[in-house]
Amino acid sequence: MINFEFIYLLPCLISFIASIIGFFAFKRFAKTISIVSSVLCILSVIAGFWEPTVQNNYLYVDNLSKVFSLMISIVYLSVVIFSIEYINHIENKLIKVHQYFSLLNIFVSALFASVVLNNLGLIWVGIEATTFTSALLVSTQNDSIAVEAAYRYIIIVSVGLIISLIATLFIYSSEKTLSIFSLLQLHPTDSIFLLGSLLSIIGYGTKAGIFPMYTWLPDAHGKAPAPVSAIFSAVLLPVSLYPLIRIFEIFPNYYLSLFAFSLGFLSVATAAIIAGSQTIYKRLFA
Amino acid sequence: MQNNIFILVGFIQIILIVFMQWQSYISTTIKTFDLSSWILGIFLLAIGIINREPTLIILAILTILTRAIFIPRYLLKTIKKDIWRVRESKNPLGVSLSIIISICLALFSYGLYSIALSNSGSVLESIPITLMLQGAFLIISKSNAYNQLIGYLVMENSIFLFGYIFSGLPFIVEAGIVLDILGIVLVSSIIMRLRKENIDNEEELYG
Repeated sequence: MINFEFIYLLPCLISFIASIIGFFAFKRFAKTISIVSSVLCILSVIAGFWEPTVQNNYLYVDNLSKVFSLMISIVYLSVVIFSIEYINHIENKLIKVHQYFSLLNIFVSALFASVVLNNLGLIWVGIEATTFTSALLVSTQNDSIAVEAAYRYIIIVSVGLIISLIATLFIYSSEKTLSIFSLLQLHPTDSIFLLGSLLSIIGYGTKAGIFPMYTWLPDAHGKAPAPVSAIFSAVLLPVSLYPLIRIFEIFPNYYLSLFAFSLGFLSVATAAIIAGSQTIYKRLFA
Repeated sequence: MQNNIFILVGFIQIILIVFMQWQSYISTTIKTFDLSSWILGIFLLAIGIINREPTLIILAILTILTRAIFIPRYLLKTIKKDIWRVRESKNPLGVSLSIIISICLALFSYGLYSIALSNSGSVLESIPITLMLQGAFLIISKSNAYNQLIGYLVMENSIFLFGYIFSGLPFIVEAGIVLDILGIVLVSSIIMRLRKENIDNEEELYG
């Protein structure tokens, strides 16, 4: 019987290969390569919808992962199509056109990997990889404010993700495994796991723009090119919350829910107050 | 014995970061970070050899290659191209206050450990917590981007000490972390070289 599990890794591999080819070999065809890659990704994700769910040493793919993969692939295709003309209208670009598309492809590759892996540590690696692959995309416009926005993005998000790495260490020390499947079987209850989960909410919440470390978000969304802002809002922020969804599945705890709800409420309240005085539309929507 | 060496290494790390707090010259801060990474790398290597753990030995070598050799040299090379960045132009908190706050953070970390983590393991946990908070304080208290990046790397170093206490993460995850740190440093350096230090007053970044 043919093993179809690899189909879930195909979008990640396709976009990664597209990035390498577009960056090193066929720079002039970077746009075409990106379109082909995004179409192949969406086809492989759709093909994966009819395959059974997978739980092995490396992959944890259920219906939630499939929905996330479909969301990433649709936004990826839309962003690539929109970028083709948009990128030509940016003057004095910080990165060249082929570099823009290569970074976009590798960024999407990290996103695809993050939603199918069966290891909270590797999911952290994937989400951290999205930070440095997308930082230069934020500063594409190459003015002082765009560069400052990219700097704030990389430093604040990296510090936030260090907190989630400590959380991962706590989780590992509690149960001696980071496998999502194994953690779901173990039903952890101890206080170290709770502490790790609370720190995860702060850490991954930073990347998702949740209170209190949300300040990078209006800067980066406001100054990034429109297609990059779109992929940030539509895909990057939800994927940053993906490990938290898994942690809530593993450890459904009242205090954890209350903490997440409080931060969510404070995020909405702060955004509502700040939005009132905002005059720049992109920052207002961010 | 190993725990005593860990305490010594942790204490030296804390002293080195307090030294970083009062430095104005960025190159000295980078060299101090270099020294702290060497100490950390050699400590991990020694533990790996004593306990005969090949993964720990590989990790220690990776740590030395990236944090102690590549990253400091790369940062020193990039800073030489922007000579006006070699000195912290403004230190909002002042040297004495920074050092006092650093020492207070060490005491706070021990208090935090006593309240939240004392029944989870050994007293050693307060050392990486101290380093973590001091790294975060370095980011907050300095305005120079290089100092802030060093603060981030100090926070990252504390993860390795946490890893020692909690018997480490799986090797593939640790290797992934090292690669991510390299990526962050490379991309940050590109952005830092383009960044103006006095951009805080830009109206477009308010709110």
